[in-house]
Amino acid sequence: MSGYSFDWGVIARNWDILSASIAMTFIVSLVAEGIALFFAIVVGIARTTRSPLIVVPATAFVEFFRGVPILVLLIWVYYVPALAWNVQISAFIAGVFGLGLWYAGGLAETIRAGILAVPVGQREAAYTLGLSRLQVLRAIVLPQATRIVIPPLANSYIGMVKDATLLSVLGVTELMRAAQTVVGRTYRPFEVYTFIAVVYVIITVVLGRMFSLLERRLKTA
Amino acid sequence: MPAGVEGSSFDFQPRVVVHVRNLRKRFGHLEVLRGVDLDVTSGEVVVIIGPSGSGKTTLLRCIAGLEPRDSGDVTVDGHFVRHAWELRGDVGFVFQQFNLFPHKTALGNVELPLAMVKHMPKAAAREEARRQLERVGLTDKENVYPAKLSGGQQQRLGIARSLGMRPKVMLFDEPTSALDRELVQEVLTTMKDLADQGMTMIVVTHELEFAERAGNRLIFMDGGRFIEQGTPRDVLQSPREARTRQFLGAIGEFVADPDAGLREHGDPDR
Repeated sequence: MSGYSFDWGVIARNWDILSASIAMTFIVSLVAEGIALFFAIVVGIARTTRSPLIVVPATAFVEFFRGVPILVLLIWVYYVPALAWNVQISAFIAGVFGLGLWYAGGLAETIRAGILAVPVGQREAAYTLGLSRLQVLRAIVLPQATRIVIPPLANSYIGMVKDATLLSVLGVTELMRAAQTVVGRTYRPFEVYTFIAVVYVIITVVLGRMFSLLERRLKTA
Repeated sequence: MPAGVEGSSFDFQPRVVVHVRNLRKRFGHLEVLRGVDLDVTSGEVVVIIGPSGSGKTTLLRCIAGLEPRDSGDVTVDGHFVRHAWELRGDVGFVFQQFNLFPHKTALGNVELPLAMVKHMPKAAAREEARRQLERVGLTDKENVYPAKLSGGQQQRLGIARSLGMRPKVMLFDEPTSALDRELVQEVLTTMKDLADQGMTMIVVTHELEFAERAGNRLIFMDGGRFIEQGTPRDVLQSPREARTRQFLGAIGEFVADPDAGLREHGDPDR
């Protein structure tokens, strides 16, 4: 690296695209987390039921999305609808659904574990008081399971923020894609990639601290 | 067996509240209940004792609809028992481990089924819940979460929660076994009050003194069968069966009439 002269000004000169892409990273990760949670809750609850008609598809969902590599899934979701049914979906939609569904496979297991962690005596007490199965789930099991799963769910979001970089392959201008664009324009890979690496570390460290604070709050509540 | 309790003096003919006929239940190879018959009349307090694994708890759970049975009939107040939730709180169940709802306050624990099952308006449910808390002496704890209550208070709250549903019968599954010795009495006192008020009760316990004070009938159970039953006094002081004597000897003390005890032990097979 002898003779290399750093030019950190490249960050400032390209601040518009970089800052917009940080915002996009958050939008992508939040939307994908929302999709992931929706499917994870439905599938996670389904996995705890006794009817094979519900359990089998739910288990298939978990095994499929946990088994497929995330990058393969992203590209598959983007191209297959276009080729098979002539439905062109945007890179953003394909990206957040691919990311969300992939995470849903893992989070469904977290939610299932949270539900199963509620002692069976809780359900039994509620049944003897006359609550229906659905009422027991809604008023007794889910509120307690929520407290159990919030810490792992929050931590999964940190992974989601980092994995949002993968949407760069679809052309979504999140932080990684923006960095590639800026590098292409300026030939300053060292400065630009160092910058986004530091940005990711800052984001994940700050989020991590926030979540452990939340966790402590939940414990005392 | 007549009830003979003041609280039920208006029942000219004692009404059968719990009716169990030829109840059988097995867990895998283990036959836990081998044909149990039991009729409990309104206002009667039946105490069941027996060694662990004798089927006492399973019997209670079958009556409450918490455990499916292999064969036999169980009816409560004339209704055939299938699943616990279909009884809509008619069978109160007090658990050894309390099983209070940890995310609800004391008041919230009692209110919840009143609102969700009886569909009482909020104000009415609150009023009823307060009345039940008062009944078990927890008025000053209504905003406290279960984790902050003592074991005795938790169990009394469990009793109040069931009482709110106006049960036809209350089942107690070793209600004091998880409690420190000094907290047992307050729960037993609450239960004795209930019995005096005419509540129909089936109590599984090792508290023989309670059985004698509050029970109308005492049943000794072993190996999934009723070995002997009668008034608590008779069964405790002059048990007819060798296994009953053995059990009473094993759990200790209760020898109100030491001579009788000696006589019985001297001639186990009669």
